[in-house]
Formats: sequence, structure tokens, C-alpha cells
Amino acid sequence: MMEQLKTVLLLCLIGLSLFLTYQLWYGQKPAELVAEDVYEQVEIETPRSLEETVVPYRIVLNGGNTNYLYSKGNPGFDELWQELSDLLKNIENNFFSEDQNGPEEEGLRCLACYFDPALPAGDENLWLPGLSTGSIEILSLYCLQDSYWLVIKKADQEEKQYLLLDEAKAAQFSAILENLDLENETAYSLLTVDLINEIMQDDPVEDDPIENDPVEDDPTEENTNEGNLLEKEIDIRASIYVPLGEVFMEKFNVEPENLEKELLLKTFFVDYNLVREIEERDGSLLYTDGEKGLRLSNNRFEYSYPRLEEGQTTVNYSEALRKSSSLISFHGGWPENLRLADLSLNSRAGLWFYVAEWTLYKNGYPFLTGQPTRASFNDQGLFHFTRSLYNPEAPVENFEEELPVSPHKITVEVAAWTDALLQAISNIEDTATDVGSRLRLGALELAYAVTTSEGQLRGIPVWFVIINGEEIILEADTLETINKEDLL
Amino acid sequence: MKLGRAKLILIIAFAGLNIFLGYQLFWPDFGRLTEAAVTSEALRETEQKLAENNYVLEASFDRATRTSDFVPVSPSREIRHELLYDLIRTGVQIEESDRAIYYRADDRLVIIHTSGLLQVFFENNRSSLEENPVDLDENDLTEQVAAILEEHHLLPEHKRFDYLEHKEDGSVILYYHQLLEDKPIYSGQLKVFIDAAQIRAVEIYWLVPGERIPTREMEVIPPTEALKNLVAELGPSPEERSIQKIDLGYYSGEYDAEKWEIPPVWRIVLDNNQYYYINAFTGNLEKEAVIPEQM
Repeated sequence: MMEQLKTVLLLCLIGLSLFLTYQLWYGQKPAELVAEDVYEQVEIETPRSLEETVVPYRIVLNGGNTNYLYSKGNPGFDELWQELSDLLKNIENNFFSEDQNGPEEEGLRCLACYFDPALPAGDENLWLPGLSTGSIEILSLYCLQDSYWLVIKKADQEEKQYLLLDEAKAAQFSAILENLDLENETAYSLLTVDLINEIMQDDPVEDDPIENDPVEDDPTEENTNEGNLLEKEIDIRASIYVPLGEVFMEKFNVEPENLEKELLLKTFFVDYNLVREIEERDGSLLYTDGEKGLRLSNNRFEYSYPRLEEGQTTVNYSEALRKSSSLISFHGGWPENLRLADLSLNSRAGLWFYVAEWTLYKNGYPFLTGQPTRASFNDQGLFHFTRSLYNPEAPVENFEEELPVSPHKITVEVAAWTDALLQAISNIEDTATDVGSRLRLGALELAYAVTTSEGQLRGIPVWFVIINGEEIILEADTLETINKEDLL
Repeated sequence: MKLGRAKLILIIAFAGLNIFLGYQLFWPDFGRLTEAAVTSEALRETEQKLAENNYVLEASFDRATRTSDFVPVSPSREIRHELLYDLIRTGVQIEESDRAIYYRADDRLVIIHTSGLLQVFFENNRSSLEENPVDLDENDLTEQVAAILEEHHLLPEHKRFDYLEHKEDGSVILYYHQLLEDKPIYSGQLKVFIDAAQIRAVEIYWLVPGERIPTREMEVIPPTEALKNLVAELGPSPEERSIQKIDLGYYSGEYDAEKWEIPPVWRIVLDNNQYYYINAFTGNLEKEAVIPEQM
């Protein structure tokens, strides 16, 4: 009897050991338990260096009577800025002076770098270490016959500061300028009231080469527009450069950038397992852990973490620049030709926070989109982020042969800036109740607008004009108005 | 005899092997399977913390370690179909707005919101109770209400009576919630508004549970943790407040969405009339959803 019991027990133990071995080898693991156990390492893009984070929004080269513009996305822009940046890092002379003996004449200015956000310079910064700490808005190089002057305009100062460069540095600047090939570049002129008056008198609207100019739709309105421009005073509020000759730009297909959803979620939510998904009626997906929310739709995403809004900001400007670079690199990456376009310190209810905004460029022209790519952050971290970036589709190898039916890209001639300005003024007069006799011109520049046409996302060349604070977007070839609400 | 000894050795060897395998299988959560989530010490500490803030724990709860998961749901259309069939059969006038469709019949007005909320307002005596609700005990009242709702195709399946609210004007509201495998889904709710022994209105927000992902099952925080988090959120109370119930279920705010996931929550009832939902994974108080501004 005892032996039989032993046999049964032994068989049971053998059976149990087989079962446990099977479970250990193939069976399901016990339920994931506490949240702290599931943190994951996320592979992300390395943040950009400070010199890749702050780049000029425009470099103007003076070639005699005309100017040539370099912006992000122009071939050679990155190399030009790299060379200039390296040179600026090595200027350690601290003899910048504020006296008024430096050069001022526009014709002598051979190079100007416009910064927005401003370039951090001076002690403890990369650039111009000899300078007192500050942020530079405009950095100009004046090339006199026997001397080179560096002139800087800081963000918070009216007075300019001047530095006479030594021979070695002057020679280095000279070499950079000489190496640039400007022959095939479009020439620009700095817009002045005199230039507007001169061109309007020499070149009335009747000579307009644009076939489909809406200004010409109504002959009575045509005269009114011309008269209006000449009658009104124009107050130019920014450094605006206008093209002097013909400009050709491309219309092309674009596609939203392709972000890996799971990786993106992991960058916003420390523990992805605690996130719940909500599928909205328009197909957007919303993710939330009860404290943070992330909405993903076809062309964009938006993130919000309201609790962090209560935080305060103590970091300085240079640190905020680095932080902004980390944020965009971490949350989706920093694609080529994306430029940090603004970094401002704001306050709401006594709480300070930084807002960083990025703009995508193609061939030196910025993209206008319906939703900005913008991050709001403070010492506690990122509390609001929107991102809407597009990839222009791969260019067709020989697009001229493909014209006029290429589904990818069409080249169009851009309407003259005078016509764009007239049309913008006409739009303002049609919509605003009291325009006044003085128009404040804040911008007149070429850009790309992202819109949709027959279900296809398109990048369309546009004139972007700001008059009296009102933004007007006109199709660059037809000057038809594009509503801001139609931007994607 | 030798065979007997050999068997004994083998029994000891296999018993040791099984202990080893069992330990490997359950480690590192071996301890969790045998321990209570709420120790006596943790309970005492929680009660002390509550008392410091003027809260008294009167509720009892299961002290074992509990696990739960997210439940994917979408708004239910089942009740709506039966009701509409009945309405159309008897004749109905239909109006539409951006957010709702209105069905006006002789005896009732039915409003179906895009969010999935269904409202029925009765306009005759077909929904009268036998007696005034204050004269009925809870069982009789719920039985009579159920019978009337059944008649009007307004009684969803998998429901449980939750509580009764007496208003100052003498009216009564009955609350039911949805059940999923015996666990309450507090977001799925049926409200019955009774006034002067008559059902005046019914509101139904019912959900269809979707397929759950077993791998998302996780351990929930203990109820003592949820209580401490709630008190931290509410702050000290000037008057003594009583914690009367604490239950595990599912809850989230309403979304005007196609499909979403509901987290497990500890529902805490204060003073028999205030309900709070603590996310049983994160420990946060469940409020309105954090939804980035509409783009």
C-alpha cells in the first residue's frame, strides 16, 4: 500500500515538473505588474549644436548696385554660414566701440546677416567672445577700400557697435566673399519708399506682364489701385528685399512627414502602457494618460500637458536655444532645411515660459502652413507642442521635359512685386473698414503655401504681404488670394 | 526494499525540482502572489492620514492584490435601433441639428446626440408608477421602473442599479451603471428622472466593449493609495467627511469619438452623495480628458 502511494506521488511530481518546465519555457508570463517596471530606452535623434540651431534667416551680399539673398534651403547657404560662424567664433578682439565714426553708407556694406532668433554673443557664448554679452539681430560687414569693419546691432540696443578688423580677419572675410559665385543668382533691391515711387511712375500697371492679373479684371479698379498706391504713404517697417528681374518658382506635390507613431508616443509618455487611445470621428487619434494628451491627425500632431503650465522659467537665452533643439530632436526629429524661426520669452499670469517656432524652407523660401511647428516650455518641461511639417516629393530628374503635364512639379513665373503690393493693398481696402492714408508695410516676400488641390497636397509659390498688421497671401503667379484658413 | 528507497529519493529530488521551477516561474513577483496589497500597517497609516485631514474611513474593501486592464469601447446603438423602430411604427416627426436628431412622437420626445447620449422625455401618463417613489422601498421602485422601461424598449442589458438621489423639489433620480463581466463601467449610465409618481425622462449613455488585449493587464494601485491621492487632491476638509464606499471599476469622461479606451478606476463615495474616480494605474483623479485644442 505504501509503495503504491509512493508510486502515485512520484508520478504526480514528475507530471508537475513537466508542466512547470513547459510553463517556464513556453507559457505566458504573469501579468505585467507595476508601471515602474516598464520604462524603455528610446532611440532618438541627437540634438543639434548651437551653431546649427541659430542660423541667419537671411544673408545679404552686396554685389555693387544689387543685393543677393541667401536663406535656408538655398544651395551653399549652410556652407556660407559655417564659414562665417567659424570666423565669428575666432574674433576675440574686445575693442568694439559705440562711437559714430564707423561706416554707415549702404553701398559700402558688402555682407549682412539677419538673425531671428538673435545670435547669442559675447562672454560664455560661442560667437564674438570679446564682446559684452548680448544677442545680435544684424551683423554687417562694411568693405572699405583700405579697411573692413564689423558692425553689430544688438536686440536690446539702438546703438550699433563697430569693430575694425585686423588684416588677417579682413582677408578671411574677403576670401569668403570672393569665393561666392553670384552670376546666376537673382538680384534683389532693398525696398525703399523712393524705389516704390520711382517704379510706380516708370512702370505703371498697364505694362503688367501677368496675363491673369485680377487687378485688370475691372478696368475702373485698375486705375483706382494705381492711384491708391501713389496717393497713400507707405511706411516700410522691416528690411524688405524685392527681386529686380524675373523669378521662377515651382509648384510641387508635398506629403506630410512620416513619423513613427510608436516612437513618437514613447517620447511623450514615459510609460506607454498607461496611455489610452481615443479614435475621433474625423479619424484623428488621441492618446492620453489622464494628465497629458497627444492628438495625431494626417498632417500634424498636437501635444498638451496642462499641469506643467504652472511652472516658472529661470534658464537664460542660450540655454533655451539648446533646450529648443533638444525638444524638436526628441519629438519627431529635426529635418533638413528646418530653421528655428523664433524664440521668445513670454508670460501669462506671472508665469514665464519660452515659445520656440520652426519654419521649413525650400530653395530659400519659407513654407506657410495652417498650424505652426511650435513648442512652449519652462523649467518643468514641454507643456505644449504642435508640429506640422511636409516633405516636398522627390524632384523629377529633368522637369523641363515633363512640362506642362508633370504631376510632380510645374515651374511658374512669379508676378512682379509691384503687382503683388497693389493687389495686397486692394485686398486690405476691400476688407478693412478704415485703412487710413498711411500703410505700414511689414513684409513683402516670396514663400510656399501648403494647400490641397483635388485631394493632393501641394506646395504653391505665394507672395506673403503684411500691411497694417494684416497678413495677405497671394498666389505668386495669378495673385489670387489664398485664405489663411485654407492653409494646411 | 531497494525499490522503495529509490522511489523515496526520486520523490525528494522531484519535489526539490518542482520547488525550484515554481520559484523560477513566479519570480520576481513571487512575493506579490502571496502578499496582500494592503497590509495592516498600510491601512493604519492611511486611516491616520485621512484622520489628519478630517476624513473617516467607513468603507471596507478587498485587501488582495488586484489586476485590471483598459477596456476599448464605442457608443452603443442597440437601444437606439429598437426605440427608433418602435417610434417609426407609431409615427414620428424628425428634426435635425448639428449635434443631435430630434424624434417627436405624440407621447414622447427622443433626442439622439452625436456623442451617443440618448434622451427620452415622456409627455403622457403611460410612464406612471403605481405609487409615489417616496412610499416605495428601493426594490419595489426599481422593479416598477424596470417594467416601464422594458415596455418602452429602454432597458439595456448588463446593468446594475447604483444609487438613488432625492432632490429638494421632491423628484427622484435613479442611477444604473453598465456591467462588464461583473465589473462596473461607471461611464455607461442609465438615469431615470421621476417626479410625482411618473417617469419624466430617461437618459442612456451605453457603451459596447471591444476586444481586450490580455497583455495590457497590469496590477492596480491598492485602494489605500487611491484614498491618499484623493485626500491630497481635495485637501483637508473643514468638516468631518465620511468615506463610505470604494470599488474597482472602469471610468472615463465622455468623448465625442468613434472608439476609445477606459482605464480602471477606484470609485470613492464621500458622504453618500459625492463620487470621485481615481485612475487605478496612475493614481490620478480622473477629470475631463486632456484633449489638445481642436486643430
